[in-house]
Amino acid sequence: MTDEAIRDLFADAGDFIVRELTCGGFSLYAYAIDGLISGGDMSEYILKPISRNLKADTMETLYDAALHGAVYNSVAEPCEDLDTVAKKLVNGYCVVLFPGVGAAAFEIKTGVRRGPDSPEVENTVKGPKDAFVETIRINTSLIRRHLRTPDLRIYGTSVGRRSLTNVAVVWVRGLTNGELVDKMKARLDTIDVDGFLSPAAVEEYVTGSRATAFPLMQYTERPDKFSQGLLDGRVGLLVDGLPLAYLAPADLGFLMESPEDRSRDYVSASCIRVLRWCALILSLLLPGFYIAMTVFHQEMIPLPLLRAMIESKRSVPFSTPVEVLGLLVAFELLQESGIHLPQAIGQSVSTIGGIVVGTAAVEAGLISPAALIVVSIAGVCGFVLPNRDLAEAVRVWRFGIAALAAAAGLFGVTVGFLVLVIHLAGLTCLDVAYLAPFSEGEDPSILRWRMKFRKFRLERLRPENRRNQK
Amino acid sequence: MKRWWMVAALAAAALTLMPSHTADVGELLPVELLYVDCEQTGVRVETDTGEMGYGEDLAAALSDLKAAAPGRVFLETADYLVVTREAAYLLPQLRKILRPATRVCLGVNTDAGAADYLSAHKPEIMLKDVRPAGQQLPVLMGIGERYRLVSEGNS
Repeated sequence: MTDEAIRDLFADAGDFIVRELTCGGFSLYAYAIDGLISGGDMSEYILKPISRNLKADTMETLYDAALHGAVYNSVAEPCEDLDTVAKKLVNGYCVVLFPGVGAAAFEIKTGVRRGPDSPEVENTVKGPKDAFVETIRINTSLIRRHLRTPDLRIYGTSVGRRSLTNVAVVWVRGLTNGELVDKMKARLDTIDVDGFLSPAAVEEYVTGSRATAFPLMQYTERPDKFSQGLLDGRVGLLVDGLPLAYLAPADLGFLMESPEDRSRDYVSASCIRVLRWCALILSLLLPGFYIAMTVFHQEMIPLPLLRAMIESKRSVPFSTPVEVLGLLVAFELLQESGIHLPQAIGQSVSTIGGIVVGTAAVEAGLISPAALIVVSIAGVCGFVLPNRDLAEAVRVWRFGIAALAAAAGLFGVTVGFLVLVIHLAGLTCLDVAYLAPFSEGEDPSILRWRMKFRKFRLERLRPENRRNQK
Repeated sequence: MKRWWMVAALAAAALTLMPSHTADVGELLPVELLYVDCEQTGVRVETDTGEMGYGEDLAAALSDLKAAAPGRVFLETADYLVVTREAAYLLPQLRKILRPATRVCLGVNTDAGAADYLSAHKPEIMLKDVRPAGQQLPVLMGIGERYRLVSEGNS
């Protein structure tokens, strides 16, 4: 390990800092990456102790003294090879080279980072207001504040040949099934990609990239929800750079749970959960059901309602399937435009698009009020789902079922629904079935039971300790 | 490969089961009341929506009704069937055309405009309960502009 070799690692990098020091007649070299380290801390806690405290006759003695307290820094680690030097530098360390002997890394990460803020997506009225941030160490500290047990285990590794993304597998020793943890670690070890930066990359590579729109890992931006997942016996995954955390296994029951459920009484929470499941069904099937009823099975519609629908449809030039599918596309476009615009403008676009254009289209006779109401109800029901990935999967399947309904009425809706159930039944996450909540003997979590009655953890997670209270 | 053959076979089977008869709701003329009368030269059918058909028999009259209507006459929504005493013999045929829950009465001096009255004073007997002979049906009597439903009458 030489000065030239380390300089070559970051040659032409404008933020790479090299500082040559003389200490007791010996030349030392300090390296760091500007922006990742604090310049003041480097001067105060590395350069100053080296120039004042380090005194020895040989380079070996200097190196030992630096590692054992002469350079007073909370973290001092030896670097045995160039790879380690590179990893330390990109993780906010200052590496000091003692030529001919070795290198020592001292942690002086910059304090400039985003602090925990309130959750943007998973907001609750009564729950905690802290949310994960992009820095993995802050996230682990947030978890520690919720789970102070010394049994909390955090296995750190890095994934991505070029991104070298820091990743942490988190679990509670004695609760989480060891097999789940081993499987998660094994999957991370098998990932060999350039970058591990985006949520999609994390989800696809970790879950094995199954051909499905449904999420096979549950993400959350709330440390309290994440901690509760760990207490249930699940495995957590933190990725540096992502302001969220993942929980596995994920199944339909977990994805339909909201942090709000645990911040209100069990009666209200149960009612809301029932509504949420109804919303899932409505969001998925309502457009298809409407098409089927209006095109194939009009005799099933009560006469007053049928008359109202006929009246509203009389001047509309499009057939019901074209009308509903067109509205579904328009709804998706509006939603997409709202996402890509700044929040204030996005809200205006949604309001103008949803209310003004919708009302104008009805008044102009381009669409019928009934179709607009059906698509709006389906859309609003989609927003009720607590997991955005699940809601997006439902949106995709909603199109398919609506198309099948246009081709074959209720028969098509039934076929679409059966195909969906078969598809979901074939999905697994860490060997836990996606529809496990509905298998025999399991609690589908449609109601939120009184906490004092939930004495055991879920069997399907195979926790090492099933009892969670007396 | 075997799996795809199975999917293809299932899809083919599904295609044979798919309904082929469609009509968009906007094209429908939903009927609430169907009035059937027998005249010397044939059968006359009228609906509460104002459509009328005439033919040698019931099938011909219904065909005429559908052909002359400005949309698709939708008899599956008919809640009330009013038949004259002369047309009561058509009830077995009408059972195959209308819903079993359609309520039936005999019409005397009446027409197809009694839907509002019948929705307030529902006849007790449904089409599914009508016997081939000797059935007591309620009678809807037209008295000027008014109607009156009385529980007597033989089909």
